[in-house]
Amino acid sequence: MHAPRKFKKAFMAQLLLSLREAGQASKSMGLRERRDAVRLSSDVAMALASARARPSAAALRSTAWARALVARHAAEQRNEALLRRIMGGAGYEMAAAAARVRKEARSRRIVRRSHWVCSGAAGRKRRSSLQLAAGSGGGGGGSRCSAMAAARRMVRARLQVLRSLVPGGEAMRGLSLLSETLDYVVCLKTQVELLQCLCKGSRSQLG
Amino acid sequence: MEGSRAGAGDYIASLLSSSPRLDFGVLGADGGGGGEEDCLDKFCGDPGFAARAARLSSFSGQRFPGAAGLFGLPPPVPAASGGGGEFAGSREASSVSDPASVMKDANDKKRKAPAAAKGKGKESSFQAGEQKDPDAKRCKTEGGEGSPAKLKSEQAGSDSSVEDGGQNQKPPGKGKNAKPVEPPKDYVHVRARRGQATDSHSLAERVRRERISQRMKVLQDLVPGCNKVIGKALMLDEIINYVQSLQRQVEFLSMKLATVNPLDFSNLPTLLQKDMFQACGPSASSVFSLESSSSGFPFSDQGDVFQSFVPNGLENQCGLNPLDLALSQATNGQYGFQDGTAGTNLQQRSYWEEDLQSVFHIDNNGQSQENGVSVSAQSFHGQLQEGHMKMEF
Repeated sequence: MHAPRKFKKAFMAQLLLSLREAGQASKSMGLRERRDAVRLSSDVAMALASARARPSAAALRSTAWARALVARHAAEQRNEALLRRIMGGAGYEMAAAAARVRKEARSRRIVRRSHWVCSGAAGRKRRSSLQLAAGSGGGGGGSRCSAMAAARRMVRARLQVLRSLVPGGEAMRGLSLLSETLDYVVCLKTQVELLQCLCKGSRSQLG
Repeated sequence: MEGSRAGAGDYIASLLSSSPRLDFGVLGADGGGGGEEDCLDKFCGDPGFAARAARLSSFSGQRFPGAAGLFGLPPPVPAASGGGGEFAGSREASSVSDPASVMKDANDKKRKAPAAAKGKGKESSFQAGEQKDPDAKRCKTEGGEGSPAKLKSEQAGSDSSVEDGGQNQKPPGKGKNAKPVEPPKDYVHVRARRGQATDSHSLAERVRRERISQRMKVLQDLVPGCNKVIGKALMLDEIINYVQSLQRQVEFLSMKLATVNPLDFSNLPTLLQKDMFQACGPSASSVFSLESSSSGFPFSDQGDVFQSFVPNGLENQCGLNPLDLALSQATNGQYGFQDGTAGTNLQQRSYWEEDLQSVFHIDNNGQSQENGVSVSAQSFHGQLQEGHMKMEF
């Protein structure tokens, strides 16, 4: 039911490749570093495979989570060599650029949000808009206003959590967040399957 | 067996050392487009897959090499062929989406059969709007209401979705939630236009709301255990839990892989051989050629790989088998909540829980979704203690 076969194949192959690269790099690393290398390579494999095997992810872009994921990995300096080898030099440059962009965007957003929070006018506006919407929404029954407001708050809180979970999700709202989540869930599932497969394979091979 | 293993290893080693950087996955931006869609149609035996593909895919048939595609370099092709590619993609996509839409009509109770022509007409506005909206979904929402009104509202919808991001999103958002907290299956309300429906603003809201509910529906199918829950907030809860658990699982599995597998590069030939020996003989060559062509890395050259892939076109079906077998074995032991009965399933989950608790000090039993299974899982914990000891940590 999950991902298309091509995606799985692309993912698997890419995963094997990146694992090979990671293996060459990390002969002498400790457990944690190896684990991080494995995770990095699988994440990159996932992102690349999704960009490649989804004929759709078009409109000139791959999925936002894929880019954000790779950018997140690229932001750490120690991954640089490995990433560079996996993705090719050009790819790494793009990832680094994306990481920088993300950082700038995030800092800009934080600044903006602090302005918004600090200014009292914004607070008043928010409260008034809340009441307005609640009023228009609860036109059928005033008693439902509070319940609906509570429900809305719950939904909003959960959307916030989802945003923190899904890579690249901070910038998105509403509909696009759900789409990204969908895509991300599918890819995570295949990632888990493939990793299990690899584990089993290597375990049975080593005895 | 040994001789063939050694021979395969040499073959791979020579290929790995000497092959140029090839791109295996991108089957050409243009030429592979049609083939890709057909392959997708053929290979998925799963009827739900076409629905999923239609949902998860949009239309343009263009694809770009790996990292470039990932980061969205504009294609070197000019706009004209881009437009042509779009239409070609749209034709293919509508062919994919028609069975998808049929299936979705079977699934959903109320949706009318979308018009493929309408779908094609919508695509330009679609691609201008959002990246992910599938043809079938959009056709469905249009089928629900009058087409000319929908036409206007669609464009208004795509416009307003853009400007919603710009504006203060809260009023339309609150207006959208204004109807009583809608279950994602709002199959009663689509056609009946409640009070404000004539307003273009609320039409756009309605469109947005429907899109959101459709996405939630798809998510509901995807996330196990979401069927019982109705309501946005609870479903989002489940989704969040699921994503978190998947992420933890990935982390755990990568840790496991790192320990079990000290030499990563020896992974490849052995794993492939394991798959190979399970499946038919001729598939071996296709698997190895897959491996060889992918060994050079990504993303620069497509032509050679496409050539090597085309002869594998027929063998692809065999070539899928080893991967499929391995994958199906993996999926049998997959992480799943509902499968309380499958011993291997629970065993795997218990391994996971045990290791997680020991390694990451996370208490999994607090999770809402795992409450049902954790009780029975705990009964396995005792048995699995010795199994746990065997793991080379």
